[in-house]
Amino acid sequence: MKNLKSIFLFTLPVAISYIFLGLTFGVIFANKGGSIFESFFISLTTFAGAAQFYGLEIYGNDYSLITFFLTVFFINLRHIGYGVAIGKDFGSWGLRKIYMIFALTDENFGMWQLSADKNLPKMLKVFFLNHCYWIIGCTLGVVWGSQIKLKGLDFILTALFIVLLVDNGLKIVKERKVA
Amino acid sequence: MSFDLKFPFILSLATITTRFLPFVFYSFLSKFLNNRINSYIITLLIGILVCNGYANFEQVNEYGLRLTSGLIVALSYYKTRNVLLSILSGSILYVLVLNTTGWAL
Repeated sequence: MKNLKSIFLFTLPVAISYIFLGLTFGVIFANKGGSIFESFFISLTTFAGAAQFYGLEIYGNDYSLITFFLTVFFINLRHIGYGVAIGKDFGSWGLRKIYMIFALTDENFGMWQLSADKNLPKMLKVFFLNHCYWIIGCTLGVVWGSQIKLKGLDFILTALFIVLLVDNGLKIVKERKVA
Repeated sequence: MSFDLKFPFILSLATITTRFLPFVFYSFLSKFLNNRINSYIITLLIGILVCNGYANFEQVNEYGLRLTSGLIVALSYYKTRNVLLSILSGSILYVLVLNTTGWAL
């Protein structure tokens, strides 16, 4: 229980970012004619903010499957860097590794980098919780999103990346000092 | 309303492909990116994401506000190393000022 509480507190910054960004996605998706089930299904099977927001642009219009695939592929190309950086740390192949690779978003990669112990069962819970926040945000966005009138909530995600950038920068400076 | 299965399928397939690619071809890809270079690339990538967050501003005032809030987040994290506090301090300022001054379009 204490462990779960510490994991929840660890994921709290991502929870805030994901729920508000998910709400934003849900609002736009609902305005484009998307349903709650579709929003739930897309966030469950894709779990990629940038790709999903790009998808909103073409949702409901005619699109070429190949162009759509390639555009999403190139939007997500940065994941290759993440995979190479932590490729050996996910252990042997199994359901846990497959799920963790599937859920390796920018924020989960950041959480992995921030985590001091890199404990696989713990990080699996972190990845899963973050996935749940995203699904909750995207689904609730379709239901309640139209009632939220606040502008600028997308800044939360930018703020999260600023923290990750500063953290990575500090790590590099520290590494250089040691070397 | 009909449910277009092609849409989530392609979205998911393209995303999963990029995520699994480095794990399937790890030894091949890691030859090009050793750990040290990789840490710089990751920082660069996150930097690009931050800049992208600044790319869709609509007004000069909003840009200034984003910049100020972003600096507050960065400084707050540098001083406190508290992720939640840093994110909230900048974000609350940004959302509050944006919604009370009428800068939001």
